[in-house]
Amino acid sequence: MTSNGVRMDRYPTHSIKGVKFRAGHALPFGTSLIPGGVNFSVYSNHATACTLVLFEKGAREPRLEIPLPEAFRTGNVWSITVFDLDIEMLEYGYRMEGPFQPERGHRFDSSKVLLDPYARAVGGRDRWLTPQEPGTPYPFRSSMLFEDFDWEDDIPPDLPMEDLVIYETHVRGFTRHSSSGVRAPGTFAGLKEKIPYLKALGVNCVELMPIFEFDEWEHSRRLPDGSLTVNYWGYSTMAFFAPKAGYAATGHMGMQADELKTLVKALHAEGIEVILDVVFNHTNEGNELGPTLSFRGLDNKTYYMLTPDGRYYNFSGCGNTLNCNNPVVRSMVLDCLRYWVAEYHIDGFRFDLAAILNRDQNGAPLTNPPLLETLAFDPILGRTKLIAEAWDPGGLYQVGSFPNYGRWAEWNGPYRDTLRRFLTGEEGQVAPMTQRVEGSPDLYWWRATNASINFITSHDGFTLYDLFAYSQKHNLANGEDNRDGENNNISWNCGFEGETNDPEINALRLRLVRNAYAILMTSQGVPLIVAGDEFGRTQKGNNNAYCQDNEISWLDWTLAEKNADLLRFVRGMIHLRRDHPILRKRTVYGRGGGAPYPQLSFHGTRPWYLDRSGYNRVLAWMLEGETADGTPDAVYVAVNMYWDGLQFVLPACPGNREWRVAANTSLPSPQDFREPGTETPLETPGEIIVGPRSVMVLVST
Amino acid sequence: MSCSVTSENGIATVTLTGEIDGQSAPSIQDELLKVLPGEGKVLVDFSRVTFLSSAGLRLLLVLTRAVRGGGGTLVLAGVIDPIREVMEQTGFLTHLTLVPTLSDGLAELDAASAAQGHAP
Repeated sequence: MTSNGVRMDRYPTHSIKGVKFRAGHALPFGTSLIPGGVNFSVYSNHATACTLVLFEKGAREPRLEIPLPEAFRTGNVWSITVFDLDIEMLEYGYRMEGPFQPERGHRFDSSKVLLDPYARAVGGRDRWLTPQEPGTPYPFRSSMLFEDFDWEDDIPPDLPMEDLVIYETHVRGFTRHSSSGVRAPGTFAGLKEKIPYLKALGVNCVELMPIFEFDEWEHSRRLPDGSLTVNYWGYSTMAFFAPKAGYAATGHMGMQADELKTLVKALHAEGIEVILDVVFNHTNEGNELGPTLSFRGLDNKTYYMLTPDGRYYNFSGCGNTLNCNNPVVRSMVLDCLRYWVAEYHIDGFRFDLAAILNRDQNGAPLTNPPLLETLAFDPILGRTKLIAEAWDPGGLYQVGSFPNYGRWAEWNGPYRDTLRRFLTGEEGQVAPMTQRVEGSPDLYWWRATNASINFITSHDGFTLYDLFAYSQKHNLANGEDNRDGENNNISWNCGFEGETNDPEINALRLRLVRNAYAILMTSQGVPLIVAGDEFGRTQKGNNNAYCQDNEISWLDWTLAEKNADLLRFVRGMIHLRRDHPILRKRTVYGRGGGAPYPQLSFHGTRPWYLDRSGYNRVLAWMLEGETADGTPDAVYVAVNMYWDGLQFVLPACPGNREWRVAANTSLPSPQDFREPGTETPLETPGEIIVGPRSVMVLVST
Repeated sequence: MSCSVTSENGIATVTLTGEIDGQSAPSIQDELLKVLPGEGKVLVDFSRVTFLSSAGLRLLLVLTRAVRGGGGTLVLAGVIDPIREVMEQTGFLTHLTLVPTLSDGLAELDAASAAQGHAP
């Protein structure tokens, strides 16, 4: 830089049709604003030539194509600075020349204009389900965003992992239904309008299903009955650095980043963290027959795991597998996560099918996978929550053994399955349940309870209500003759498949839902709940609603009124967990508490004795310790999954205090949950009757 | 897009008309930063702005900050609902002062200067 602040690289050296440019900077990848112009940089190890293609926003054909001179290449990176561009109206892409030799891993196709892997935004899906014009030659274009958001004094909440109550939701489905009452349904802005609801519910972390740009039209079908299936969930990334424009009310104005950041900032202001569900295991380019949109045409051999004869390994079950432990791809993943943390103030990530991230370039599992290690020790991600779905469809199952470097938590699949079996009355579940309640020491004893993300439902599978209303999946609406979706749901319809007017069955279902929340909120580990389950959301038995952009998936907020009693109970249990730190201890395994009581002890219908045999269906546990302000505290939970009521003799309440009943799922609302300070004394000192298939939670006073 | 500035009783009134986007925003910004008082009162008649792009919103923020930086106040009058909605959804609204009409704007500027006058 000269002393008057003028840089020599502000001056162009070349021009085509009046557009001026010069050799660019190889780093950073993607686009960056520099004085007077835009710098473009893209990697390809095997391309022989690169052309930058510029579009006027929305135009069908390119405005200009600039073949990059050989001098614009540094190593395997092409870069160019172009001057005087209006970035609001700019869309761009790359044409790459190179061999089409699939058997050697190369699939170059210079007829395609490719997305920049680092694209900050994608044009072409500015609004959700923008009508597709048949024959559009270049349907997706990269574009730029302003990255000057004013965060003011936003500070991410940085909550201890074990204090989280995670609320998983789909951005669009959360408020798209007409009953949501928001002004911008189905968007980031709509979600922001619901923050008071989340705050009242008591959750302190929102986990958003994928929000990286994807194509909702992917694999879309018009079914014989006239209905439309689309890629509603979006587990099929097109651009890892781009927020989905169709999830923003202002996406058509290119302001999706501002809108998402405004949402994150508002959530942080209420002490609520934001976790993104990220999909790095595959892309939306599919298998050998899939479209060439970006990676395949940029450098197929680098970005994808390929068989020796150049076909795609399919560990993801979605056609291809991203080559995450190739150093270039690994850097891209790291750049991506750093970007979301630094630019969007994201608090954590949940990695879809994360076991794939452990595979080497030939698919073999690694003991010390470089990507996971890099992420675990990265300074920018130093306080970021990292959560793995520790399995993949290729058969790698790593719950309890996922390489964690002391950082990675895991979705605890065994928690889900054990709790489901226990709640639906299966025998043989008491012994495994003790593990689940204690934070799954069988899986995490050398770590901490907060390695375990406890859940009973997720976006994938039955809703919690449907878990007790359907014994079988009902996926005909997906158009695959009910073949898709999990068959082994460990669900129970309570005696009638689907909706019924039988008041006893309906009462039982809602009681089982309450039981699930009562156990989830009193288990050690980190609870994850699914949006809408707290007021009895149903998908009418559909357990694989990935393609249903309609009332099957959208939250029907009228249920929050109809099932207001259930919602009150759930809210109460979440607050009970918050009020009693002994329910979320980082370490409990095998450790004594203040003598004479252990921190966690198991009981049965008799105190200090638990029948762990296969036919037993009752379990009680007691937690002893202190509240946040140091007051002695105890909680006792009694679970009776037997079909008759049973008497439980209680352990003496520690410290000569008294047991009071905070929750009893066998009672109608509002007796099912008592607000703090109004818990009811025992009818008979030292014992309780726990109703059939019911849970009671006692606190000490 | 057109932009005009009049000055009366220590208040600069900026009248913007048409669409503000990445094409027009830079020139409006240059022009206004030249003429706007570094300290003082600025009333922007926004009622005839029909479209405001991302770059246009950023222009407003820059102007507001420039005027505020000099101890002054900038008020936007008559922003149409769709634009106001975008401002709210993208977080800009918290940084801007909006009033329904020009006379509300004058009152707002009076109040702001009164508050400043009484500041210790």
